[in-house]
Amino acid sequence: MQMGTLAIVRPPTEGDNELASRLSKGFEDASHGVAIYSSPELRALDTEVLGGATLLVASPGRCIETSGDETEFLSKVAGANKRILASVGPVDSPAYKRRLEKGIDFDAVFDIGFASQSDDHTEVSDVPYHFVFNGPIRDEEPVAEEPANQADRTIPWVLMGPKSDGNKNVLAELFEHEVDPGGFCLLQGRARIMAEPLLGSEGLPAVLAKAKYYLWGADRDAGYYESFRFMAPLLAGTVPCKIDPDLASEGLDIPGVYPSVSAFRAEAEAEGYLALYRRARNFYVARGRLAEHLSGAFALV
Amino acid sequence: MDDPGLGWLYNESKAEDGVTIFIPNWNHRPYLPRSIRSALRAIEHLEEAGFSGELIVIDDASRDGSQKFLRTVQLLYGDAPLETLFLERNLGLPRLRNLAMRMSRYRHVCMLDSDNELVADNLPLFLQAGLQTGAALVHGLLIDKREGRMTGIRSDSVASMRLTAGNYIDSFALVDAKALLRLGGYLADPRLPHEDWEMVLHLIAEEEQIVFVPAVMGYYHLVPGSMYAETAEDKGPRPRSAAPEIVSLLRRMFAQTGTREWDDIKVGRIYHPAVGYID
Repeated sequence: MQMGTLAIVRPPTEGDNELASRLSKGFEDASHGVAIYSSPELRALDTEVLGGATLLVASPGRCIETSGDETEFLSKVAGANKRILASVGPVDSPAYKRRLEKGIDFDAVFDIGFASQSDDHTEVSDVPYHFVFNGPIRDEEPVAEEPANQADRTIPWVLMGPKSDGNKNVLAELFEHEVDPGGFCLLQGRARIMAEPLLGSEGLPAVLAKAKYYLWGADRDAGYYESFRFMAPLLAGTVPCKIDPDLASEGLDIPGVYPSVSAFRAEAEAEGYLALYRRARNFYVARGRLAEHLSGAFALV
Repeated sequence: MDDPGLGWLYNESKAEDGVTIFIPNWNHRPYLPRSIRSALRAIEHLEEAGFSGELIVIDDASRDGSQKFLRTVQLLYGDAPLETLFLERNLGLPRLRNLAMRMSRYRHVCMLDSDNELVADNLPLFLQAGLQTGAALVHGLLIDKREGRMTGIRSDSVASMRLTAGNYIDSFALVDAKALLRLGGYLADPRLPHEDWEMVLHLIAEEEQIVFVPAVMGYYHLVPGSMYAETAEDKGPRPRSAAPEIVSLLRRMFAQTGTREWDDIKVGRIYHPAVGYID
C-alpha cells in the first residue's frame, strides 16, 4: 500500500466527515496528494508506512472510540511523522479541550473557520495554532455574482437545524416582530438529526433555491460562527444570517451576524436581499481559496 | 356518527377551492374573539390567494353566554362567510368535528380549537399542500404560547410509527373531510377519549397520506381554563402521557407486534408547495 505524505484520519461512519471531505478537496485543489483513512483503516496500516506521514485527525475522540483497538490506534498515530488536529468549533469549549487531551500528542492545530480564535487557544493549549480560512473550493467556483431564480424565491426565510433554545428563540422573535410569517421552519431533535436527517441530499438545495434568507440561532454559550453553515445557502443564492447577540458584540467582519431578529429585519429592509447576497458572496471569495490557506498553514508545521 | 335532527345541515357536495375553518366552542367565550378574528383574517388571505373560505362556529350547549357573543359577532360581521350553530344538547368534541365535516362547504376543513389562533397568512400554503398532495391530513408547526410568550413548538415532526407510542400531531390541522368521513370520522367512544390520536393512527392504518408542511400553522395558547385544560378533566392527561389503559388499548389496535423496532419508519411526508416533496 502506498501512502502519501499527508493523510486525513476520520471516524468510519460519523463525526467530522464533512470536515474530512472538505479538507481533502482543499488539499487536492492545492495539488497536495492526500489520502483519507477511517480510524480502523489507519490501524491496519504498516508502522513503516506511517513513519513518513503527516496525519490530519478529524474528531479524534470518535476516531479512537471507533478504531476497534484504542491502544493500537494510538500507537499507530504516535508512529506518524507529525499529527495535526483538524478542528471546527469554538476553541473556548470543553469539547475542544477534550480533543486535545485524547492521548494524541499533536504538533499543530488547524482551526477551520471564518475567524481566528488564536487568543482563546493560547489560554488552553501550547500546541501551535493555525487559523485556516474556510474559503471556496474548486467545485464551488465561480460563486455567482447574482443569485439565480430571484423571482422564484417565494420563501422569505428558512430556519433549519437542531431544536435548540437558540433556534426556538429565533422562531419566537420572527413572529413577535411580525417578520413575514411564510417562512420555512424545520427543527429537529439532535438525536434524530444524527440518526437520519429529515431532508435528503437534494432536499436542502431545493428549499434554498426558493428562499431568500437562511437563518440560524446561537447554539452554544461561546460566540462562534459556523462557517460550514454558510456555504450551502450562499451557493444556492440564499443569504446566510446568524442571530447571535454575543457574536454580534464581538464585531467580527463576517457579514450577516445580527444581535436580534429585529436587527436582521431592519437591515434586510434597508439594504435588500440582493445587496446582502453580494456582501456575503464578496466576503467569501475575497479572502482566497481554502487551498491557499491550507497550503500556507501546512508549510508552517 | 350521524346525529338525528341535524341532517338538514349536511353538505354532501364539497368544493375544492377553499377551506372551511371550524371552531368548536364549549364555555370558551373569552377566547372566541381571538380565534374568530384569526379565522376571518385567514379567509381574507385565502381570497387574496384566489381561494375561498368559510367559518363555522358550533356552540356545544355552552353555559357561559357564548351564544350571545356569537350572535353579536354575526351581526357585526354580516357580510363575512360566517355560520353559527347553537346546539341545545352537548354532543362532545368528536361528534362536533364530524358534524362540521358534514356541514362544510369545502372538502378541506381546518380544525381550530376556540382557544387557539391561526397564522392567517399561511392558510393558503396548507390548502395548496392538501390540494397538490391529496393528503388526508396536513399539519404544520404550532407555536405554544403562554401569557403572550412562546414556550415551545408542537406538531413539528413528520409522522412515523412512533405515533403508536404517543401522539405528537395535534388536532389543529387541515383535514380532508371527505376522506375522514369515508373512514368513519372521529371516534366518539368514551372508552377512547383521544379521538385525535386515534384518527391519526387510523389514517396511517388505512394508508392515507399525512403531510407535514414546515411552516407555522398557528398558535397553541396554554392558559388556565383553555380547551385543553378543560377537556383534560374529562380526558385525562395529554396523549403522550395518556393513561396506561388508553395507551394499551391503542397499541392493541395499531401496534400489535409489541415491538418498538419500527418506531422510526416514516409514514408521513414533508411537502412545501414552493418545492414539492422534500424528504
